Amino acid sequence: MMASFCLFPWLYMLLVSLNDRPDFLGTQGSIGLSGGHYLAVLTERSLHFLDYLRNSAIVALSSAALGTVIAALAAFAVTRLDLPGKAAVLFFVLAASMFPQISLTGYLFRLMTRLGWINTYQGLLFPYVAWTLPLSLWLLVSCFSQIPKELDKAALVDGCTSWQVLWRVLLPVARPGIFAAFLLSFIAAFNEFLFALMLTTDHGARTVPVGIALFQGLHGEMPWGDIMAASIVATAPIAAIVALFQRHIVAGLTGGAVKG
Amino acid sequence: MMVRIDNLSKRFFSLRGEVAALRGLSLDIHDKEFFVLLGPSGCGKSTLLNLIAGLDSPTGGQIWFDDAVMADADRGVCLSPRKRNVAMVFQSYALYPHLSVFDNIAFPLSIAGMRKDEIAEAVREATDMLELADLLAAKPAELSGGQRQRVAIARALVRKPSVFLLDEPLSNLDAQLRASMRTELKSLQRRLGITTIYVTHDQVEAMSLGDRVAVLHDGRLEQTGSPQELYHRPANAFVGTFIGSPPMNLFEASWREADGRPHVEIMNMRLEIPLHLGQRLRALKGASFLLGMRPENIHAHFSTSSPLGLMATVRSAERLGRETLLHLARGEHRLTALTSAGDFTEGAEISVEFDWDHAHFLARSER
Amino acid sequence: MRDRGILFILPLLAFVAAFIIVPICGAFWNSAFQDIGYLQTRFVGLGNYRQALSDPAFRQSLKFTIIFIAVSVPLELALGLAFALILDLDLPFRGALRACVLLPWAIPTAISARVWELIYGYGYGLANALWTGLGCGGPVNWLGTPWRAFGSLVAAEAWKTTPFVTIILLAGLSAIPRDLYSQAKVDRANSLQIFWRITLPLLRPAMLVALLFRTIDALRVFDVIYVLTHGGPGGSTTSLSLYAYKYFLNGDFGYGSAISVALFLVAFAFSLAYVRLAGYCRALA
Repeated sequence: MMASFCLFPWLYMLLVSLNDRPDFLGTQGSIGLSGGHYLAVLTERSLHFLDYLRNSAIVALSSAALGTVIAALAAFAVTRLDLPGKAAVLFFVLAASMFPQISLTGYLFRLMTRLGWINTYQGLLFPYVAWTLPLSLWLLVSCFSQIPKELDKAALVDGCTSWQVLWRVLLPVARPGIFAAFLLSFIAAFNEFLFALMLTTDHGARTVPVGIALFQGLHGEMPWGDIMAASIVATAPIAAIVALFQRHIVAGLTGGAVKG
Repeated sequence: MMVRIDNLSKRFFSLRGEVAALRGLSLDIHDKEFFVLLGPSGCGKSTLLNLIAGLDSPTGGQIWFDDAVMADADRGVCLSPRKRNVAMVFQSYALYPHLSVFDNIAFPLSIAGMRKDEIAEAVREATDMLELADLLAAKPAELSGGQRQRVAIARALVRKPSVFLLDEPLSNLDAQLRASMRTELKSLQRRLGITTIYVTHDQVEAMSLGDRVAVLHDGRLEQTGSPQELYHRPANAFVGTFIGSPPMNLFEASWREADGRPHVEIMNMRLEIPLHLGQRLRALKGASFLLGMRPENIHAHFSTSSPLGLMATVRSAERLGRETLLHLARGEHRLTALTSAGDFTEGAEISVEFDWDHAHFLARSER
Repeated sequence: MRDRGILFILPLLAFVAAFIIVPICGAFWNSAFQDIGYLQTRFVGLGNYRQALSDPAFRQSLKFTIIFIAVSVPLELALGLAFALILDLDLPFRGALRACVLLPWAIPTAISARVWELIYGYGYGLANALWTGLGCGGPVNWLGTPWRAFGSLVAAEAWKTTPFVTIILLAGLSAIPRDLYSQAKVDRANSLQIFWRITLPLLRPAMLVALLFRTIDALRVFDVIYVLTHGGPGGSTTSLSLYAYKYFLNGDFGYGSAISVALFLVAFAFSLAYVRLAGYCRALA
């Protein structure tokens, strides 16, 4: 029952996307299966769906990668190096993660306009990195602080520089946590809506959520079949990630939130 | 390699203020020596080991390896561990969980940039020595405690360090394994002839392993000496009670000479003591001191009257197998005696006799 | 390992400062100006805030946002707790079940909102198919009246965010030592008593965390409303975020900033209150 509660909208999405007519429930009958909507979404250039997908993939992947690296360096500093005001930094970053996005978008829009970054990848990339950093930092700090300090000492005595301690010992040992941070940042960036809505104007940089939200028919009536087919294509990778890596995701969510 | 510690001190700064972990400590550790740092937890022994390794920098004093200065607080010198050629074994073993046994042992060599074939050769030598050859592909999580211990030792010895540091390496093992690792470690150290500094809180370990033992307490050195010296000639009450099991009895005592014979007063009783001990008592300035008596030097008799007149009540008898440890009471005073003689029942009145040749006259410590 | 900490944390601080802190300060700054695209920018001090206080549309969106939080967050907590309790049992296919529960959380809100839009669709949507199929009456316009739109939004939001609550509470549940349950059974507590006297009190820290995160998240709700109702009908479901967004869209950066600053202050106050509350709970325990 629980599973069906979680799944039914998605299954419905699947059903509509495969159907000729969106109103098949109303007409009590003919469920004509067809892949026509998928064909349209994937081949019709004027729908720009593939552009959105590419933009999303590029922006989400690169911001997750960059954000995870930056957060890992920072978590190393917080847990292992002398740093005045560690607690203040952590608190400040946690507080930053609670700021409403809308409070940032007004200024960001003008900043990006001035930089000429509206509707560019970097215009989304940088805010996304900043936006996902707090969560990654908290997650990686709790991950790093679970690695015993004696391991660092052993590495130092074995002749490592502090850089080698990070690179050859901490990062490999923390790999599950780093992967979780990457996954969570990726999902967060892939799902982000408001920044993408404000900072993009067309298929040059527009991401999938905005693309699908603004998807209008060419002829008045909503092309529900196409929208749902696009939604399926866009969410299938996410669903696959969830199915494959749910353990990492759960660990990441609880590590980042509960310890915080 | 000779290690010299000169007036070393270490203060930590925490939110609760300044904490002194070491207060001006000096030590000389000889070449090829098995040297043990012994003390209760919080005495500063692990801090000292970290300072020797270079994992931490001293706030005062110097550390020398032979003629090379490793750390000098006054000149702001503190070499990093990688420049000291020390190896260390930790209580938790600190094996790299993501690396196989082979890669764990090879790690210090590969950091040093050694060639692949040289590494393989060195690792093979170390693993043969520690009988690990069958486990090379295993990950640390798959090993037993004793095996992990061996890997940690192999990793430490593989690059032939000048100083070998061990921080309570045996305390996570069960009693039987601990005893066998002890003998093995000792013979390994003899064979390789590496200057070894071993930290422990376990006096049995210290006595059985150390060529010399340094007893630390509250950041200060209490006494340095061979295990025999520490046992038979403790410098103060702390060393006396810390070394030896069951622990030494301590009595508040004062002495005087009456009729030209030395007397000691303990537990509200005046006891006459052999003449030659008077010399030693005279050396203790002041009339009051602590009298230390190990339980094995207190003899218990069934007789209801003692020639020396020291009577006590048996509170309980702890049977240890070959011997029995008697917990005795005399008024409000408590003492223990070790005896091999038969059945002492609880509540029995017995007489006790001190073996004065093994008496320790200890100055009251200032702390 | 000395003095190098700053170097490693600098990139993080730079990013957070440039793209979070500076924009927030910028919003504060802008909110003190009349700053509309085609007009001369003019300093108005607190004028924008004064305008907001007397603006019925602002009060409406404030009211909506508060009621939205008050209804949806407790609902999510209750559902999430139920799910967590189920997932904590030793069921077969636990992994697959967990993946199912995670799915709504992982799908972009904008996309799932599109599905809800279709579900609520007049005439042919799933909701109406069920409604009429169960014989409850004729087709209903689920987004047509303020209250129906509100209910539909809460349902969509609860579906989307219950997984997060579930995961947090599940972690809290698995942190409760099993021995406690055995002890309680030995003490002859029945399962309801065990739940009330042991599970719930020990779950309180996790509940608090979930409550904190959900409240702050619901406070800034935007995506689902933007797609489903666009604030309608008649502005009745305009959240504060959406309200500010509409001003930004019209080029009124002064007033929009003032609203977003107000929202920021409320969110900040919430988070501070919760942090204090959490500290208080820890002090009690």
